[in-house]
Order: sequence, then C-alpha cells, then structure tokens
Amino acid sequence: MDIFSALHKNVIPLLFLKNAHLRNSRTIHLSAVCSKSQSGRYKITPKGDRPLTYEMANPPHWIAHRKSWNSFNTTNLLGGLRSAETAVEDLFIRKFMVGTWHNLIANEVIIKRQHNIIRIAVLVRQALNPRKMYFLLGYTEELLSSWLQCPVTLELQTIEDKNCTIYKYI
Amino acid sequence: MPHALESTIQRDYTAPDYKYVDDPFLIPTSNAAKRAFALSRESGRKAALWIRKEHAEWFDQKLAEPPIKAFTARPHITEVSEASEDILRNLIDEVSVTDAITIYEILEKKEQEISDETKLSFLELLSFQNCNDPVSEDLPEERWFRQTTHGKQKLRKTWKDGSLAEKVFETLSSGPLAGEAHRALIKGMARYGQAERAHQLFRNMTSSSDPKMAPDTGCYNAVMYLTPFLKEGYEARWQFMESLLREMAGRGLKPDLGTLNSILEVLSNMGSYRKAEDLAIQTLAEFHKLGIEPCLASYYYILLTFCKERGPRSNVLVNILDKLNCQALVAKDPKDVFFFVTAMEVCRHHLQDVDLAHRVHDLLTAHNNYDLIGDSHKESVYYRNYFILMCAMEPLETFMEFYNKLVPTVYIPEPVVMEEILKAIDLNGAIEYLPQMWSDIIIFDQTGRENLLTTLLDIMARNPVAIEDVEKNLQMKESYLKIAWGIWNVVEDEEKEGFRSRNIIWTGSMLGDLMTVCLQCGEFDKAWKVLKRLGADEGMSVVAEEYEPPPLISGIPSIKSLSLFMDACLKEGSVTRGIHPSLENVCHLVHLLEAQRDGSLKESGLYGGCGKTVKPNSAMSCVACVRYSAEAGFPEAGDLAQKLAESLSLNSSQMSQLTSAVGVLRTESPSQVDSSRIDLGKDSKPSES
Repeated sequence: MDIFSALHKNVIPLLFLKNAHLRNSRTIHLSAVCSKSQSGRYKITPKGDRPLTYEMANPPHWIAHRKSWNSFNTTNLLGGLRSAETAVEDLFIRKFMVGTWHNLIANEVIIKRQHNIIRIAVLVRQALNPRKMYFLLGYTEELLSSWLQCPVTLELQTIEDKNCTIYKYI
Repeated sequence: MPHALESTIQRDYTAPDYKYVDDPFLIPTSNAAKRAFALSRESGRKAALWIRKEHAEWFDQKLAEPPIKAFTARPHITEVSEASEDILRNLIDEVSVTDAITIYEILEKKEQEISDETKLSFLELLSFQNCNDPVSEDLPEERWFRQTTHGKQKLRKTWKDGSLAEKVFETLSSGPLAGEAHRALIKGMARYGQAERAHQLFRNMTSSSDPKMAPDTGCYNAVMYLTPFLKEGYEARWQFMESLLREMAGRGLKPDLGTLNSILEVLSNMGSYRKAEDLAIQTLAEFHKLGIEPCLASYYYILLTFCKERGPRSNVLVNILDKLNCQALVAKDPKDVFFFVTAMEVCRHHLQDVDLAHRVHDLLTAHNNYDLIGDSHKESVYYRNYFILMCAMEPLETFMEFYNKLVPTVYIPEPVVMEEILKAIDLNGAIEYLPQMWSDIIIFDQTGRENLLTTLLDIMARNPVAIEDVEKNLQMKESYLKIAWGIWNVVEDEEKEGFRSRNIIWTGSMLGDLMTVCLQCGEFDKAWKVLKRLGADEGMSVVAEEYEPPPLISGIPSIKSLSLFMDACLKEGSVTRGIHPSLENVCHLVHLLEAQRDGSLKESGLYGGCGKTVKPNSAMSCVACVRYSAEAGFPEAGDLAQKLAESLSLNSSQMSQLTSAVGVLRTESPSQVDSSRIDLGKDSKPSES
C-alpha cells in the first residue's frame, strides 16, 4: 500500500472526525502539487532526446521576455472588441493553415492583427516547388480573406529542413 | 499630392518586387520564374474565388457592417436565376458582361419590360466590351503578363457581327434614345474595327435633321480613327479627316484630346507620305491654340511619324523631353503606355544617343511615372533597348554599375542582351567581369543558349589571363577553369540526357577554345579529355558492334589551339610521363587535324592505329598523321612535324613519312632522310582516296 492510499484510507477520515466543523464548509484546495501549471511546458525525457524549438523551449512565463506571443491583437485590452470571436478565428486560421500547408509548417502559426489586416507568419519547409508554394499562398490569402472579410497576408519564410528549428534537446 | 513621408521612400533595388516573397527560396531568378511565380499566385487566388463561387453557402457569414462587396460571394447566375431590372443594372455597374447577358435573356424570355435607360447602359456595356468579359481588375498579374497586341500592329476587325449588342440597338434605334444608341454602337464598332457599318451609321446620323441624332465629338473621333479603313491613299485620308473637322466646326462641336490622338494616329500610319510630318506639327499647333495639350499617346504617334526606320534622322524626341521635363505624368489615353518603350527604341535604333536614353529613363523613374511602363513585355523591351544601347556607348564600368543596380530585381537580361554584354567585355578586354557573367548566366537559366557558351569560350581563349599580381592571376585562372569546365559539364550533361530539341552540339571551334583555356590554365588532363572528345572514342568502336559512335563534331579547332596542345603535350610528356603517352597524344592530335578535315573518322585506316591505349606503332601512325595533316592543307603541319621530330626519337620509317609529308626536315640525322621514300603510305591510306 503506497503512501497516498494510506492517507486516503486512514488520515483523511481522521482529520474530518477531529475537525468536524470542516465537513460543512467549503475549502479551497491549494496544495503545491495541483497548482503546478502544465501547459506550454515539456517534460524531460530519460534519454534527453526530445527536440524542442525555441518557442517550445521557453515556457509561457517567458512570453514578452525571451519570446513573443503567437497571437498579436488588442481584443483583450480594456475596451477591446470581439475577444471571443478573435480567439475562435485564430483557432480556425491555425487549423486552416496546418491543413492547407500540409506537413510543411515547421513552427507555430503566428497571427498578427493590425487595424483590419491580418498577417500570418509561418516557417515553411522547402518540400514543395516554389511555384506550388505561390499557388498555395494566393489560395490561402484569398480564401481566408473572404472568410474573415478583411485583407489577409501571409509572411512566409522557408527552411531547408525541419531540424533547422530545433533549439535544444531535453 | 503624395505624402511627405511617402516621398522619402524609393524603390529598393536590392529587394525583389513586392509581389514575390522576400525569401531566397521564393525569389525568382529568371524571367520564366518571375512569370511563373506571379501567375501561380494569381491562379491560387482564382482557385479560391472559384470555390467561393461554387460553394457560396460556406461564405454567408456577415462580419463586416456595412458589408464589403469584395469579400462577399457574388450570386451565381444561371439561366434559372431570379431576374429583374435592378439585378441587370447592378451587373452592368459591375461590368460582368456574361452575367448581364444571361439576365437580359431571362428578362426577354419572360417578356418583362426593361426601361430604355437600362437598355442603353446595357448597350453601352456590350459595345465597349464587344460582348466579352474583360480581364478582371482584381487580377493584376494576368493583366501584367498578358501578351497584348503590339502598338504597331494594325487594327483588325474583331467586332462580333449580329451580336446581342446589335439586337439591343435595334430595339432602341427608333425610340427616344436613338441618338445615344447610335453613338454607343458607332464607338463600339470603331473600337473593334467594324469600319463600314460604323461609317454608315455615322452618315445616318449626320444626314438626319433630328437634333437628337446629332453625333458628338466622340463619334467624330471614332470615325476619324477609322479613316485608314474608309479611304485609300494618303491624300484622300487627310482630306477626309479635314472634312470631318470642318463638319465638327460647323456643328459647333469642340474637339478634345481624343480628336488629336485620332488624327495623329492616322498620320503616324501614313508610311512614306511626305506631308505627314508637317501635318502632325500643324495639328499640334492648332490644338495648342484650342488649349488642348498632347498626352503621352500623342507623343508616341509623333515619334512614329518622325522616326521612321529608314527615314532621315529626327530630333523630335529631344523636343518632347524638353517639354515633358521630368513632370509627373497622368494616364489620359490607353495608348499612353506605348510612349516609353517607343522612346527607348528611338534612342537606340534611330538616334543612337545614350544621353537621351538617360533622360527618358529619368522621366520614367520620376514621380509615379513608372506606372506608365505598361506591361511586362513593354518593360522588358524597354530595358533591352536601354541595356544594349548603354552597353555599346557607355564605358564598361558605368554600364556594369547600372547592371548591378537593376539586375536581377528589376530586369533580367535576355540572352540577346547577355551576348551584347559579353561582346562589350571582349572589346574592353575586361575579363574580370567574366566570372560574374557566367554565374548570372547560370542563375538566369540561360546555359542552354549555344551562342552564349560559344561567345564565352571564344572570349576566354582569345584573352588569356595575364594579371601582374600573382595571387589575383591564380584566382582568375581558377575562375576561368571553373567557367570552362562548367560549360563542358553543361554540354556533356545535355548530351547524356538526350534532350534532342534543345541540344547544344559541340563544334570544333568550341572544343578548340575550351582546350586552349584548359591549357592556358595549366590543366593538361582536362585538355586531353577535350581532345579525346574531339576525336570520338575510336577504341570502343572496334570492341563492340552495337556501339553507336558519338555524333561527329562539325568544324575543326584552330591550328593555334592544336599546336598549343602539342607544345603542352611534349612538355608534359618529357617532364612527367616519359615519351609514350605524349607521343600517342600527339599522334592523336595530328590525326585529328586530318580526320576533322574530311569528316569521316571511322573510314580512316589510320584511325585504329592511334587510340587511347598505347600501341607499338603509335609513333609511326603519328608521323603518318602529320603527313595527312599537311595534305589536308594546314601549312602549320610542317612546324608540327618539325617539332615532333626534334622532340621524340623516331625510327627511320617514321622519319621518312614525316619527311614525305612536309618536305625536308632539318634533323640531326640526315641519313634517315634517304630512306624516306621506301614505306611511304604503305600502312595507312589517306581517307580522301
């Protein structure tokens, strides 16, 4: 029997018996283990062979210090408009980009909104003929701008190999 | 007026055009790539637009308030669509001709009443577009790269006879809007070359006493524009136009810029008509009095009139440029875009004046005048003329500065221009530019041009590297070799891949030049390889029957490159290899002189004798080869033989052959000369026999 089950079976009921008044009150659970935030953080592997991009290597608390946002917009500022819609649209844009540029995108899709313009920046692998890339570029811009009803521009940068983006292994 | 901040930003010559992604992988490096990339992008956009059209139900969200028309799907119009006059009017405003025609036909079928005003604007649309859909304004690349009819091409009749436009016209021709309908149809017909009927309608109008049927200035312009179709002979044409102008004056109509351009266009098409120039000047003066200033299109016609190909030299362009004086130009006539390309052509072909060309270019780059360059074709013709002119007239340094500024972001020279540049480099002996040119030729995808490769080899062979600085000299030699061997690889690869259609075929002089370059750079092995290529690999033809000999090489290398090889060969042989290989090379070489001359390698009995494997009688056949070379008519064969005899130890019969070939040799052993006639020509036959 490990220590946690032991606690459950023996200690916790005892606690409640001893402090009977606690049973009827709402308690906030604030143990150190559960408040640990997980998102945007990667676990170290035993062999230390998990490749991370620069973006992945910096956990969220480094945003604005060592790395930048993935979505740039002002909707969440005081008096900002359409914050929920913007979040859903960004999700849609990301899904659309990953699907349209299938197996080509090598990093996070960065979405920058300024006035009525949406700029989408991505790193693309050089796995496609440049002509086809230009086709996809025009296609994406036109289709997204008809959906989002504003000018959309793609800011592409190409990389020879996906491994170029690896910042470190953990 | 442009903003103060905006005016500080100028064209960045180091970056590609904005339509391309500024990423090394995605920057186009050749003219073909420029075109393909821009059009691919647009075709992607078209695919998206098609999806939006086919699946309008997916695009029904209303985000913008008020709705933005450009981002909403246009209703798909078919024969069963809902139709009303309002819809028709909207479509006319949007210039969507096909859809408007469909709606109009539905309305006709339903016998729904359409107001005369709507019908008139529909007629105007059809006449203007000749019942065709125009290329959308939203597709700039397609418009930019479209092959437009050249300015000098004559107007052809493209008007669709009996089309919907004429039917609509008939319903209007007797109504209250008959005058407007006539005007619309006449202008449309004139635009698309239907001269006879336009003129007939015009005469109906002028003969009518109804004031509503009076033609307007636009009609007169249209008919004047058609003069070449209506009248034969230059004199008759001018009289016709004059009578029209008098008619206009009689009706109290004020001419406009269109009138001026119509007159000038007709005058510019008058070939050898003596008076055309005077008349053009008079017309300009007359219109100046009326307060109508010419636009770029007028100047374009003036240039055509004055600067004829075989006509006398005219400096009219100088006056035009004085007048325009780097001002901001505005498009006023569709033909305005022909001005710059024609002006540059005049600078190059008519005046050969590079200073004037610079002035034209200054005018083009001032303000937003670059908008008037027209399309991709005109732009490249403009730069082609400018580059070739500058290349011929300016010092090479100045030209290269200019070249480095504009190439490749603004303009990529065509192979013709490249050849001119190479020639200029040759003329100036400026071999330091050759490595750059070669790398540009590769980048611009012009390695498939035989003339460029030939010129390059020729230049390198005639301008050996001789720079005083030892290090630079070595560097230059290395680049020379890189170029030469690059060319070798290009041609060899092409031959291997067997693209028959665009095959570059080695010629004797090309290989000779290549060999010379290799020798000058001290690469004996490579030169030997080239020589083998010259003579085809005869060793193999003996071994396998199915072996197909490589195509014969036409032409012969110059004796200079061959004797250079001989020298190098003798030197090389005596220094590193001993006598045999070099002897074999020599015999091959001299043999080649002969074989190349009569063009049949295999028939030559000698040919089997000297191969790539060293044979015991190689010296013998070598000697025979010298004889043949002499017979083939190379006077230098004697010197070759002399050299051979002095350098290598030959036996008596070999010596005798040499002697008989070229006459008496000054050798140290005169005794050998006596036995010279014994085995003359016994073991080998001349292939001519």
